[in-house]
Amino acid sequence: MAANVLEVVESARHLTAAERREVLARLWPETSARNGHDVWVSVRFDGTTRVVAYAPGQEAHLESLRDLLQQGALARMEDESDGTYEIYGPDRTYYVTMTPAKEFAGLLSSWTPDQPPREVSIPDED
Amino acid sequence: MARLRQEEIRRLLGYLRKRPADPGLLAQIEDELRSDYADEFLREPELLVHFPVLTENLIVDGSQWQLRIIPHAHLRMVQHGVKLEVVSTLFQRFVEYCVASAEIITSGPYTIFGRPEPRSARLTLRVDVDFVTDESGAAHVVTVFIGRSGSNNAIEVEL
Repeated sequence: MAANVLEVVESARHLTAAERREVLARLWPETSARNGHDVWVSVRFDGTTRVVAYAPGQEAHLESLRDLLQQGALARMEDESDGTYEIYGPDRTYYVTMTPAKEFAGLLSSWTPDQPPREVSIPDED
Repeated sequence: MARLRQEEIRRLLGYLRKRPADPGLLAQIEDELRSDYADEFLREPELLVHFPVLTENLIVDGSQWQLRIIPHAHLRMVQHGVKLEVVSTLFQRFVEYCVASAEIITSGPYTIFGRPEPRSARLTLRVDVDFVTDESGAAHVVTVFIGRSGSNNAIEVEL
């Protein structure tokens, strides 16, 4: 078991930050932790779950997002005031604006774990 | 739950008052924006109808790009005082940076970090590149979301 964890950690070193999150989120699906500016929480909707597509082309993923939220999943909060989260499901990651207290999620984007967003930092202009 | 900051309320109301709307509805929205649950209200679908899709066409390095800013992103831009030119400039710099570093932009999600102008707040643009082709001369279509606006450092959360 320890060897497996070490292998994962070693492999993860060579990944981009977004790829690392895709891997690590699935290893610890039940947690609540803070890592620097990242806040990780477990979310689970028990009652009347409302999910809507806020971006075109995402309607096809609403049902799987609803199921995931009702089963429970790990989420990384991006911005508290905007309520933006990445929610890590077994087959797809969902970028949402969400109000957990009202069991509401607006789906903005989604992707498969092997194709997370490419992150580009533009250098400051002189 | 959380209240909005005064400047956020002012920006949102200033925008909404310029649009044709039932005064009674506007008063209701103002009450919600000033309430303890304002941040949750901003995520509700019925508010987004007042923030239509914005479309911006760019030509960068000889290629056409069409940015489609969805209503949710439009609302966040108004809330945080982020102008369309700022989003457009940052995206243009992203394309120029990719061209200069020989990185090919392909379909799929991107997270772009940068300062639109020197010494301005950092902005995170999250985009889905929906369509890329150089064959027909058609524009590359990009759906734009707004990530961190740089205006909020709070990360405390209560679920």
